[in-house]
Amino acid sequence: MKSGPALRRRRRWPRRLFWLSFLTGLMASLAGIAALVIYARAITLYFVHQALPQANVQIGSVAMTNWTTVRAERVAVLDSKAGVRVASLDAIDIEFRPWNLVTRRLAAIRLTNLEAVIGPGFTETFTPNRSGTQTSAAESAVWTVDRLQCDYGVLQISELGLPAPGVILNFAFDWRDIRFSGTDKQLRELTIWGLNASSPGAHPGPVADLDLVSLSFSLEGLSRRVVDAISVRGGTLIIGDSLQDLVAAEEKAPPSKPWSVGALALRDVEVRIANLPGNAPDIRLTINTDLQNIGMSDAGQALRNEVHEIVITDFDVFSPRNPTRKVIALPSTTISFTLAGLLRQQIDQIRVVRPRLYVGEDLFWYMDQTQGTNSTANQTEEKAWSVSNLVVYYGTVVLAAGDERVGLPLNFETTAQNVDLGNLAALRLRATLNVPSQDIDLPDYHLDLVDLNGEMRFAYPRDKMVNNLVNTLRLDQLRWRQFHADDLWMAVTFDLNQVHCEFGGKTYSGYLQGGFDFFFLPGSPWTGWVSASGVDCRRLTDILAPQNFRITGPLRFLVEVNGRTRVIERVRATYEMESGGKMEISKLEELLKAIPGTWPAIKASATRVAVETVKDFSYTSAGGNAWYAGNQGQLFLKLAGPDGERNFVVDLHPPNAPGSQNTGTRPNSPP
Amino acid sequence: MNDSCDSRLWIALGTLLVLGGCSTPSVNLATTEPIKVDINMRLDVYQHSTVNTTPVAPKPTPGASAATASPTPVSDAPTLASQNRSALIQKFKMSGNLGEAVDGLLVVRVDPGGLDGSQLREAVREENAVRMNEMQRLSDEQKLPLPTIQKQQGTLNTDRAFKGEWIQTTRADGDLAWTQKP
Repeated sequence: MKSGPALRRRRRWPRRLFWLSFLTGLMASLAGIAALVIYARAITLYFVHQALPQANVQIGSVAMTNWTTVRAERVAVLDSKAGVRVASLDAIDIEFRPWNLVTRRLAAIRLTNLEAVIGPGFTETFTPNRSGTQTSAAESAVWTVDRLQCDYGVLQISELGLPAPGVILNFAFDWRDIRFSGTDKQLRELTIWGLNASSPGAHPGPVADLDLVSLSFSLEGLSRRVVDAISVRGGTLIIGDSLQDLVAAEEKAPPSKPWSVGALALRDVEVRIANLPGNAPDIRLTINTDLQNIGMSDAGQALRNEVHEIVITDFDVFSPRNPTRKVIALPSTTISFTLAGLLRQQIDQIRVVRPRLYVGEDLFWYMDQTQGTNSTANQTEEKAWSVSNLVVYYGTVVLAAGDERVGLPLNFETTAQNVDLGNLAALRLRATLNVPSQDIDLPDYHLDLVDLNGEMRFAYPRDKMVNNLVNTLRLDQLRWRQFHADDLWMAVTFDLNQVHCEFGGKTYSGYLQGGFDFFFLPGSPWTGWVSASGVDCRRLTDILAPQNFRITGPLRFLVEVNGRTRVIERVRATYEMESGGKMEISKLEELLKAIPGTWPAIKASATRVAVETVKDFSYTSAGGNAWYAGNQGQLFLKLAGPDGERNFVVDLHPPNAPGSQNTGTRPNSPP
Repeated sequence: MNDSCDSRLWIALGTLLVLGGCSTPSVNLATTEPIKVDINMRLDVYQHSTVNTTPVAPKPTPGASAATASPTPVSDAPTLASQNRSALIQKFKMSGNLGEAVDGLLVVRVDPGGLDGSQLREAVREENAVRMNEMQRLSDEQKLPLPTIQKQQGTLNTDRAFKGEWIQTTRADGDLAWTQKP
């Protein structure tokens, strides 16, 4: 048994070894920390170079802010080839526990004011070293970070060319327990706000401006191109040429592995449809959509194919020459469309209710201007807008000459397919305005139209087949005062200078034909004509002067009229009986009865003979003419028969004509 | 000489006696053809309504708004003189003395001479003055050259001419020609 002092010395060695080890470790740690402090910049650059061998990283300063935190300030990552800055940080704080460094674990990384520019050199700059110097062990060496945090960052994507849009966005994230490998399945949230996307294509311009976007994903999912959820709240998507450029480029791009989204939610995202034809204002609508488990391309497809409907009220189109004159008034227009259609500049359906079409030179100027614009667009190979289905109900045509407005008393409706809005001239030629069956009563004109129906159409340039009865209005009966015509047709065409109408129908055993032109000129001048043949004159005179005057026989006549608005300026008529007949002035019967019995026989007989001579007259030919102008006129009627001739002249004197004096000369004499 | 006179007298008396001794011949008033009677009647119709010579705003038409309705121009007021001029021009148009020219004015094609001729020339002068004033007004209002307005009105007048009236047309070679409206 050893003595006590020897035993105590033997017992001191472990304690000494412990302290020796402790001091050695402490010295080593201090040396390491000292080295870290002294060589922090070099060490940091070394690790950065290892991580980003293609990048040229510049660091303003590196310092230990405390024993476990390294702070690098004014960090810039440059593209080694072009020397362009691809990322910068005001500061990066790396917090660690020394004893965790061995296991490649960091306590936290905080990024301050990160700005990244994803451009042509970005991918190469941030591509890990794939050279043969790296071993599989090094590739498998994965760092873990307990917390990765960025309070504010800006990401800019530019100059990548189509189909990549130019993007600038703000973002922030705060992620825990990050393992930078493809096996990290923990969901991460990335908050993006103020996202602005634009097209760098042939039509540079904004395509999206999103207020807030939240992305949920895992690093493992990203490696499989899977995003768990995308939520967009607020913002604007602009449908126009710029977006069309992007979509077209995407369709042409070589196929790549698609991204998929577990859930896509759009809330209060406004879609603005720009560059509509005809100087139409931009259309805006709000989209709220939820889509589940779809590929990004499918999501885009689903979004693009969803049918939207908007209603535009009180949209007026004005004359290009006089902005106070309407050419088209659309009180209610419903537009049905898909975003996919809009990207193809195609609208699925436009439903217009109660439009007013101000047919006149202003409308045609507008159409000419639109057509001219379209011609220019065609020269630049721009695609025109089209409507798959155009439906118009209860339309009204208003004849517009200058500031004059005359509404046609009928409604029209029309449908047209595949209407090219860029070529309104073609639209006019194809569009037929259907007039549904309707009765129209116009007391101001003493006119009744019974069962009016049919079609109207535009002709621009004026249709040479104007007499083609395919596109006409049909009318069961037209009544003007006590006269009527049946089974009428009307063909109406419009052109730059006038409205042209021709009509025909049966009347009093005969057939009448006529037409009128309404000119789009100041004062609304118009001209019209009516001719008829085989008209039963007896029925006409029975209406004109029942029980007083009658002419039998078939009548042929032509009446021509000039007027302005409602004022008749001048009229000329020619008429002729097509065969013999009889004229009876029944009114004279009363005169015969009224011959006083007290008259001398010879006087009474002479009077009776004279009246009888005039009262009944059988004719073999009859005809005449009449004119009216300046509130005065003349009517000539000559009947000839076996018993002689009867010549009648009626002079219509103007109001306030002096006495019974006839005015003017009479260069034309009775026939 | 006296003997010859006496003998003639006696012969005449003898003849009268012979004839006087015979029966009275009958007179036939019937005609083989019916009697033809030509009658000319003239009826004068006078209008007694008061002519309003002041411009009157047209009654609103269906589809027209009050804001778009414009009063009738002063030159269109139906004064008696203008009415007489219109009637006179109409008559001379029908007789072929007047024609509508391409410049929107009336042209005397055939001067009838005499009183009619002077009336015709006076009416045409007044009518053309009114038309020129109106076309000048339209030119100022529409900011278009006067010749353009004249051509426009000439075309309008040609389009509104009645069948058989004379109108001036421009041939393919640019020359002007008078034709009757078909």
